[in-house]
Amino acid sequence: MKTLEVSLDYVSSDLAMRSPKSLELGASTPFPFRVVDAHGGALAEGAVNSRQSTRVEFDDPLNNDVLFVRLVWPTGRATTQMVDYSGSQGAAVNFTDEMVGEDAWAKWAAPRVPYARVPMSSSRSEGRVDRGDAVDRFGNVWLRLWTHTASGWALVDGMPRSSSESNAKARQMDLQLGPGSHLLQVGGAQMPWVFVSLPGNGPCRVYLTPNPAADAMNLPLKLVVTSFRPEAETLVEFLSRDALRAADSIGRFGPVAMKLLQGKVEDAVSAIAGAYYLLRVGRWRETPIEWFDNLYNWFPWSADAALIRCVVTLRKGLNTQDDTLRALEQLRQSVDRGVPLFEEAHRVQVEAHTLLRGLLFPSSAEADSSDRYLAPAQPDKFKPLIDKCQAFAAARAWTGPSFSYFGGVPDQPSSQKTRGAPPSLSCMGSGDTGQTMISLSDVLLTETSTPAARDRRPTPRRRKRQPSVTYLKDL
Amino acid sequence: MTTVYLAADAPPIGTHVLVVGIGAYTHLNGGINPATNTRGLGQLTSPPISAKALIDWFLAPLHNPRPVAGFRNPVAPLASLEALIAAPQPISVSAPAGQEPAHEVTLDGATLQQVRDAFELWRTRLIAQPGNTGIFYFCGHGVSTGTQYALCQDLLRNEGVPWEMVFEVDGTLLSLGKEAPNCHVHFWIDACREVPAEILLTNQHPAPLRTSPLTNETVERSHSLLQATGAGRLAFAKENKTSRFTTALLKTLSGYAGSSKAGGPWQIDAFELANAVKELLKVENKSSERKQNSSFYDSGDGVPIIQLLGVPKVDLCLDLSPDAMREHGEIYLVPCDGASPVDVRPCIEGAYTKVVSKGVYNLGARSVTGHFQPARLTFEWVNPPFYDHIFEVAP
Repeated sequence: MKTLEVSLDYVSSDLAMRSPKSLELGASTPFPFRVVDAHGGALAEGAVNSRQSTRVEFDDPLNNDVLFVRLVWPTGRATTQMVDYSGSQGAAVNFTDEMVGEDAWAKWAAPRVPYARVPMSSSRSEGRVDRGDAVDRFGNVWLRLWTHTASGWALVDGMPRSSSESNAKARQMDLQLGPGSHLLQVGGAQMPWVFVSLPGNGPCRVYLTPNPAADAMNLPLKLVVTSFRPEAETLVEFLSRDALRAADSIGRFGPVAMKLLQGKVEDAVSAIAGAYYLLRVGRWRETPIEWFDNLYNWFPWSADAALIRCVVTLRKGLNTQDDTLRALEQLRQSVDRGVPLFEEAHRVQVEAHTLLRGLLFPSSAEADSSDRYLAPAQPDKFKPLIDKCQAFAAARAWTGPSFSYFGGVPDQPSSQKTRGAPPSLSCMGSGDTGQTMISLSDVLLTETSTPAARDRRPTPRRRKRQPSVTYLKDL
Repeated sequence: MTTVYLAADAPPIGTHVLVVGIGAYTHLNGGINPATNTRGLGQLTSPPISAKALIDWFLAPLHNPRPVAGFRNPVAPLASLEALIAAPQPISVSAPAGQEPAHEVTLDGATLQQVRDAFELWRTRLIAQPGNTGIFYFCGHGVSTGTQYALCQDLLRNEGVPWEMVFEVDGTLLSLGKEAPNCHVHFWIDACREVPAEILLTNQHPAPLRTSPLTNETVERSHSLLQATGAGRLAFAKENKTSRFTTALLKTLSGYAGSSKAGGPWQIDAFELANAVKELLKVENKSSERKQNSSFYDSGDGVPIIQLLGVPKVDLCLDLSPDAMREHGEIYLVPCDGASPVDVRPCIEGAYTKVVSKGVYNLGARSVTGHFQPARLTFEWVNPPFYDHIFEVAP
């Protein structure tokens, strides 16, 4: 039996992850690791964060003198270190983030941004992060913020920013959002109009940078969102990349998922992340049903909570027509409450609406199914709901762990990828909010720029005033 | 229905395979009875070839007991293989000895009813034993509106109901989850996922191959859906060749992915398979105008799909830049297992390409004459299916 103590010194990344007004170091981001032999055969795995080292015990059938530890980021990027076991059965290894060549404020985002394939090794000097071209290329990308209210979606007047950061590669803004569902809409000449769900009821940070992995599936601009919940966000980050093994290492670290769900009174967003993980890995069966009930009932603003409860209802099996109506009501709530927070919701929503559609609107092949008695009396009443879910599935965009979709207005997800200037609200049939356009340059100049920086900055071009549009180049 | 193989002694837990390849569409352009409006869809040359290649891969070890590439899973050995191929000429397969002696079998076509019947047979075998693994491969036309639809051989048979001879992929997979206790179900779908305006506008939703009663609890252990392309995108193949996706799939299954745990055998699970397929398609994209990126989703507590005969393989390609330094340099490769020899190659011979075993290596470029500073990668993770690096050196 061998032992290994794995520690992580990612303090500078953790510091960068602090919420804007917090003086204290928040929670630390956990990362999965694997102990492997020279052929990459796994001997042990676990997860570690800067606050707490992790000790693993494992059998090494070949009793190798040399083993390797791979610390994996959500992007798949990994750092490998050698561990020497010559004459010993115990060893220790420490990983640092000193090789992450980012400005201090940007270090938190590095593990979540794809990379041009430059191998990173802690033992070589050229291991800096190289993330391709400058963000200025996307200067004309525009942003605007929507919030969900009792009467539907409304544009927010400007960005409720508390601070901004920028360098040649990225822009970052800190937002303070009210309760409920929020969408950041981004678009431009190269960037299809896309909605990205933002966590509400507190501080939220958005980091924008050119996407080195841009291709037909990945948008040219990468958005990284945090609401300063590193455990939960790392978990859903791995889930969104289908890296279940890595997610499992994180999920069992604590074990995080159960802890997140149990602690739902304190933090609904983390509880939602934990619930999605349990659904994905099949451990929903072992979870008390009351926890899902509580999540659904205690957080009436959460679309995710309603969607999660709906799919648990469906997985448990329907016994009566009332069960069906309950599942449909939960699905309706998930739409009425705004949009979900996490990408995982797309998958769960497909599961829910696909199963319910088969029951409500059976094809001729399905019409004699033994569960016909479960169908409600007036299935057509639910068609708009099912169609809306289908529309979200067809409009699905992938920006990472945040729920994202293409479209011009929040209520009309679209499979078409439209590019260009921000859609005019009057053209889209949405009421003019009468709000003013705020160029990000205006905000930046008045809030965060130094006089010297202001001198270097070109005079912001005044555009035709359009409600609540902000340009990336002005950030 | 065409049963190509049924194990003589049914294993306690087995792998059941259903392969469907559709190249000949009766009512599409170039078909034997084309519809008035074929929606721009025509015949495909690749699916019969791709499906046949996959069938051959599954059966190879049964034809040849020596270690050759092919399906191997000692925990869940091949228990049955059902196949349908719609091609201009009937496709025959050499069926290995199982419940029946070895013989040639001609495969049935793949109308929606034939696919339904074959699926039903496959499903019944799959759910008969908790813990079984099911693999469903489809190659042919496909469309998508958030969920994916596979188009059968008799598409447009009834022009008044254009999307009738179609089945929904996602619903079929989800439905199985309610009927296959503790089973592992994998769908490999090699088809386009374009969004046809007609389906969107008419709001049609073709049904899955089977809808399980919603009274059932979800009982599967895991499932995965590996799709040849992303939502709204096309999948490609060269005329009369195995498709890009299936080529990548077969290459991966031949040993270009895999992991082992605690000194156990090398195995490929659904995630590793999907990851390698994605990487291989990316390599192809570098030289192809038409880009194709596969898509993947998995759920539950998965198990390996196949077991490998040895350590996974990696196509390694190392090179030196700038060209002027080639004549002065050499590239080396040192496996970190402490036993394998150092491999050195002069750069003048061009890029250093080699198939190597997965593992941790020290890689580098150096000049024995001191023309440039050495460059090296220490403890580099060389992972399947492909690893490349250019050493940028300076005097």
